[in-house]
Amino acid sequence: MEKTVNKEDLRKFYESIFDLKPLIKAIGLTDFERREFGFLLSKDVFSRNLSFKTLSDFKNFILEKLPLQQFVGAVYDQGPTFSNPIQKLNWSYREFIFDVDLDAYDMVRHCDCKGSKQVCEDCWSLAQDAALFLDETLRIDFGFEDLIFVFSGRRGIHCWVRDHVAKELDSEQRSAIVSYLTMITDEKRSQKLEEIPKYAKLLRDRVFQKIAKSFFLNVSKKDLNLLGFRPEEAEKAIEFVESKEKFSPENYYKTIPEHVDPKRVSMAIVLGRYPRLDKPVTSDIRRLLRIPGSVHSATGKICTIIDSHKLENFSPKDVPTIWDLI
Amino acid sequence: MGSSEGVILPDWFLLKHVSGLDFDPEAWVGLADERIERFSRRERWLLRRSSAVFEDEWLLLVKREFAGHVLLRLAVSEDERLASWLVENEGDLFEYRFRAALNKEKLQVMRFLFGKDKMLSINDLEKVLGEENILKRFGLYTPSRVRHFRSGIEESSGYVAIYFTDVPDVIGSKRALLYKGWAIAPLFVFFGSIKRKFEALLREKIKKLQDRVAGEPALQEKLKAIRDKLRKIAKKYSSDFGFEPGEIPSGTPLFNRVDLMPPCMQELIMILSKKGHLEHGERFQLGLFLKRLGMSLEDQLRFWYDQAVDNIGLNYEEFTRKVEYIIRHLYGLEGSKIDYSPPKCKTIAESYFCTFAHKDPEEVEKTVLSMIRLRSGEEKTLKNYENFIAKIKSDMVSGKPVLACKTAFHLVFDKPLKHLSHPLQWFYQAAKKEGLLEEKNNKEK
Repeated sequence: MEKTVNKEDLRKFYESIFDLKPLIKAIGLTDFERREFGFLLSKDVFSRNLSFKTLSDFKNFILEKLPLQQFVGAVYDQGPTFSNPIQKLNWSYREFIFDVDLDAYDMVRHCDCKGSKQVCEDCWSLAQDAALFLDETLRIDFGFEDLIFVFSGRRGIHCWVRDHVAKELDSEQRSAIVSYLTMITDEKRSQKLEEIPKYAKLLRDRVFQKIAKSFFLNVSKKDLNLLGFRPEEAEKAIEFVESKEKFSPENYYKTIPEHVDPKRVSMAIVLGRYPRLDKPVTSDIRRLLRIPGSVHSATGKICTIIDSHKLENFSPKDVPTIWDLI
Repeated sequence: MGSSEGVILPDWFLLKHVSGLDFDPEAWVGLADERIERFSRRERWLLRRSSAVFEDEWLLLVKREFAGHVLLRLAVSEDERLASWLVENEGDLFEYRFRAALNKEKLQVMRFLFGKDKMLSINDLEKVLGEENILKRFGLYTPSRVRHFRSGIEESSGYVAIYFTDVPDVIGSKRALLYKGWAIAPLFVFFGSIKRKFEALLREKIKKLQDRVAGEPALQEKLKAIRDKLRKIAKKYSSDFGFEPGEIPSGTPLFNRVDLMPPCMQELIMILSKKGHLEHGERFQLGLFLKRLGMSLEDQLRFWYDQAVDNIGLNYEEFTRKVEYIIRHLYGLEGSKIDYSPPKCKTIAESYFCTFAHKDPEEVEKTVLSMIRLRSGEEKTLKNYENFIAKIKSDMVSGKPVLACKTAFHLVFDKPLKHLSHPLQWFYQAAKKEGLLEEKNNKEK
């Protein structure tokens, strides 16, 4: 039977295990008292518009209320309260965040994890691909430097961009960046594909490099047959990609036999492996996001900062649960 | 906003500081009047000095141009609707002049609008990044461009670089190479963004005048005549395109008549019903259009809720709490509290979603067919259908989306459309064809 996180587990966790360092790493201590927090206090009670003058006040609140889940939001001109909620305050800034949730991939996940809180090595690779693609795009295309990636505790990855210019982006600018990164819309239904961009050359090349490589490393020969590859061509294509440590767009074009429709292949690549981002999470400047270091009550796992050098090797199965720690 | 330090600006650029302009509202009224007349005739004119004009004559001409404009700024400063009207017209005039300007002048204006640190020539970008041959490296450099764009632009490539924060529309539509935060593209790609910057700055300047006007009753009196004239024009302007909320006749609310809406709005509604949400700019475009069709704030909240597939698990109250702020913003009740007008066709084609500017001609044929089907409820063979479709496609390929849209109207409603510059015009004419809108003089009887 699946374990559920109870108040006694939380008490032990908050009293002796819960570490504030990941939260501080994500948001820093500047303007802490003007920062909004939100908590899932029980299954049906969510409370936001909360702020704390100091870290101690924050910790004391946690110890008193034993929240099931913890979230952090934006900085305002004053610390929000129930009588002075965020709608009445002026927004100051907020880290630029992205959420890759595997439930957006349900229509292309081949494993049995669809719609559940499970994640396996197979479908986790989709989140990894998304994180690596996001990392490179945000650094090279946008020039951001200060990024952290966080395992959400269930089936996704969050990316926090903490560069000064990123924190001050307004909703329109954030939406524009999400649009830049989007090639699939209506992921859970029609999965409409956009054209691979002609002018945004770096983005385009990255699709034919990173995403294409990942596609060929994960695709079955049967699926390649369906795209028009003959059996020996499918085998040759996969071997060719496996042999290339650095896969380039030129290599990609060489993997497609002449008689195969390249548009069909590029559509399959994008549908199968291209990052699917939760757009409202990024565009909403008032969004609350799970606090790194906190527990995800649905799984008991800890929301964990991922070492950026170890993104490719990180696995959710290696993340401890609250029961491992208490 | 951009610094003007050391930036020489062309005389036609109305946001520059003009020295020796002594404020004289009485003398300026005639100039403001003249300007209003020209805008109401939809005139666009250049301010160009010919070799026959002496220096002092030219300076007088420039001062007269500025005087008329500045008095209008004052006149509209206390009325959001009039301010929107002025910003729109001055924005169009600015765009007209900008496109006609020399490349050197274009760069001067862009440096002012974006700031010297946010807008760079490619040479300067390479110095800032410490890199060389950026255009060549990304396959953007062709020798023919050197000859074509030689005058005024450093290293003559026709390309400029603008920092991504200032051109969200270009970023979102992936129309530029983006490298280390810099959107790099030929100058024409940024025309829409440049116009929006101008309009935003003008709006800021108008807003700052509110207090000045409020504090000078004598000035208010002098501006009254201009304001009254503008109100008449603005009313006619909005009645040419549509109608004020409250003037809509009873019966089926017109905002429910999707079949009367222009293609861009019909498509946005279709995308919304499939995706459950729209991107920021598309939401703005559709939301303002529906507002102007008489949809109340409450109606809009209900509309977006009904369309949103993301509302699974959310009841109406929860949904309202999440999105109410956004919708209230559209109605001028939050944020900078501007009662925005819906963008017009040219702006939509440049910066939002236009069926005939942003879709493939083959896909557009399907769109037009589905519009015909929506109206007639069945496939109908229309006279000269093939000719109409050919004309639509040809106009699209030639970069004339508004002309293509006019032809589409003719095809769908079997009636030519004389003028089209705003989506509300399409709706208004469509509603008239249906007999849904009475002429004003009939209503008064």
